[in-house]
Amino acid sequence: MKNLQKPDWLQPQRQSASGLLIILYRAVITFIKAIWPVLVIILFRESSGKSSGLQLMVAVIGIAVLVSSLINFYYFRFFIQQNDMVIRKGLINKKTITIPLKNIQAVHIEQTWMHQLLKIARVKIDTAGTDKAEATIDAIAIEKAAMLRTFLMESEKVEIDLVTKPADEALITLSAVDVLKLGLTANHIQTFFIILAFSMSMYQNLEDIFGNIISRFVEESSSLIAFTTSAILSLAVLVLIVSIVVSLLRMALLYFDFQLSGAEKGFRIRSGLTSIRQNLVPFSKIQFISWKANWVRRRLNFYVLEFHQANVEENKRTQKALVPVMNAEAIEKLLAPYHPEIIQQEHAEHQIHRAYAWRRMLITGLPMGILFTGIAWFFMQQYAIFFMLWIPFIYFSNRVYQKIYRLYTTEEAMQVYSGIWGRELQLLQWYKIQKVSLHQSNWQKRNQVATIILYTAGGHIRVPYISLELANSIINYALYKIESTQKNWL
Amino acid sequence: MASLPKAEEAELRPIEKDYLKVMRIEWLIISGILIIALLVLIFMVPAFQLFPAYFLLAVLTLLVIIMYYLFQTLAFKKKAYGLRERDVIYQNGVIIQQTSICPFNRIQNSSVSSGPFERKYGLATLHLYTAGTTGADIHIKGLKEETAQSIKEYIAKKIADEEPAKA
Repeated sequence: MKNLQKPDWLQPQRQSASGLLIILYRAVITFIKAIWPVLVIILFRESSGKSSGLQLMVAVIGIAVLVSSLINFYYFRFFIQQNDMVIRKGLINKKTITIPLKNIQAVHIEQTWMHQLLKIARVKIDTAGTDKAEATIDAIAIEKAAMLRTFLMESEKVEIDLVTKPADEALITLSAVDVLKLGLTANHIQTFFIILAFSMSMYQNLEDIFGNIISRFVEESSSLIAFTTSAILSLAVLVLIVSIVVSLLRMALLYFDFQLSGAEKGFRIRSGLTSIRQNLVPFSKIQFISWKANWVRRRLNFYVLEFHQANVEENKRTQKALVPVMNAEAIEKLLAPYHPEIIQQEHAEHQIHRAYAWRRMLITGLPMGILFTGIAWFFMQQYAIFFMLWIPFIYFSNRVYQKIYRLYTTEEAMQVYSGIWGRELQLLQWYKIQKVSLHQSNWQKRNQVATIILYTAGGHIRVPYISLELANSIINYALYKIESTQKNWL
Repeated sequence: MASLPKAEEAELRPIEKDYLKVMRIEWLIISGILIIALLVLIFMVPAFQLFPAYFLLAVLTLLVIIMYYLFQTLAFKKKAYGLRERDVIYQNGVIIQQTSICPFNRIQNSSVSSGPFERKYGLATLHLYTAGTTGADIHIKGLKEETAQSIKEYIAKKIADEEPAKA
């Protein structure tokens, strides 16, 4: 296989024929993933007349998945055209993906065990963005894959300079006491809802499989407990204790032995109890920075800072770069490579429109309040009216939000200061923006108010209910900065 | 600040009239599905065969279909796009009007797609992908196939011209 001649990349070509096996295998996997609950039901239910309909459905879906993956294989073509890599696919929904060669950041060659067996590889083309445009060639002969990579990478020498060897200077370390503090001050209400959601989904899954045995069991056992005040009280205490324990565990898992060290080109974060997680934050990849504290943590001056990075590598979304900060100077150090806090410089200050509070009440508070009351009516009749308090509650919390909200702008960056009980700060450099959006409802149009959304490669920042004039001038200025700044956003 | 080009004053072009036909075909299909679902429901569930139930259900379905039709008309009217020297503007939205602006030098890749109904009228959708997270892309629907292609090429050329020599 040594003297394999160089393929002509200008010719549209198909994937490797032996790749068909991989594609079939993948079809089977997607099929099973999509349909496993039904399969489980078929397996566990005694076959009666009814299940034949289910089996038919399974068969139809199976054939549809199979046919569509065959079609996808047959109509898939890739080639190089001028300075673009082009992938064409689809029969019914035709799709052409064009990637300028110079936007290609990396070319990954991957092999699963099946690929290895068939001597083929999967080629993934990383652009500076996310995986939305699916530039993946699933099956291509291994030698060809290597040649394609060389070809693509040679055409434009793009290399992402990762943090190589940082001079390990620890900027932030957390002691066990710090982790304990974080656990105690965590948002227990949030934890409670996470536990609740988790147990509900568990319950639902179990019910799907075992039918109503469980619900009957739950019903029977709960009817034994009379709901007296003391029962409710002890339940609340129990919930609180469980929430605190779970919070402590979560914080320990996340931040045990936490260390952040600074290097020339980025931060290195290391932490973990059961498994050590490493996270590199190259300065250039930071899109914007936010830091926040809940009500308790604010009193203690605890903030959790997040670097919103462009996820160039296939960073799992769960792998956020979070840094707990116990004092204000540390925040300053962390911001330094990006942009210093605006409040300390000369800046312009803006507020959001007063109407924000009652508009929010109208849009979210009112329908929810009526819905809650309606549902509660079946359980507690006239006492359900207390759920109407939800409406003023929404109004007043949004009123507080509107009063506290500040937008600071300078020539280089903007900063948002917001919160109701807690506080959140966001810091964004104009040139890191990818797209700007201006939203207006009819009411906003009549009142010359607008909401703007600034999208970056690491998430978006939403600025609600500012005057249209301000919104337009921010958008025009941001566009000017994006279009004229020579610095690369990555 | 005052001398910056004003995005809000940029001239926008409406999308192709034929796209409304594509939307209407979608409307027909979805309405068909809704009506079939309604009939199945009425014939299969005895509770719906009593007088007010099936009547209310039918009225509700009809209302949804009509609302959907009117909604489409509005949605079509609100769609517009514009090209400026360094960015592309797309406007859409019925209940909330959105104007999205994306500078050319932030577009990572682009594609043109067309579904079966779009192709019938020679229409296509232009997709412009940025590196931004969810919602940061622009999808301009209802362009003539040639227009979509030529805008795509225009932008590609602009990016290539603009690219400063990398250090």
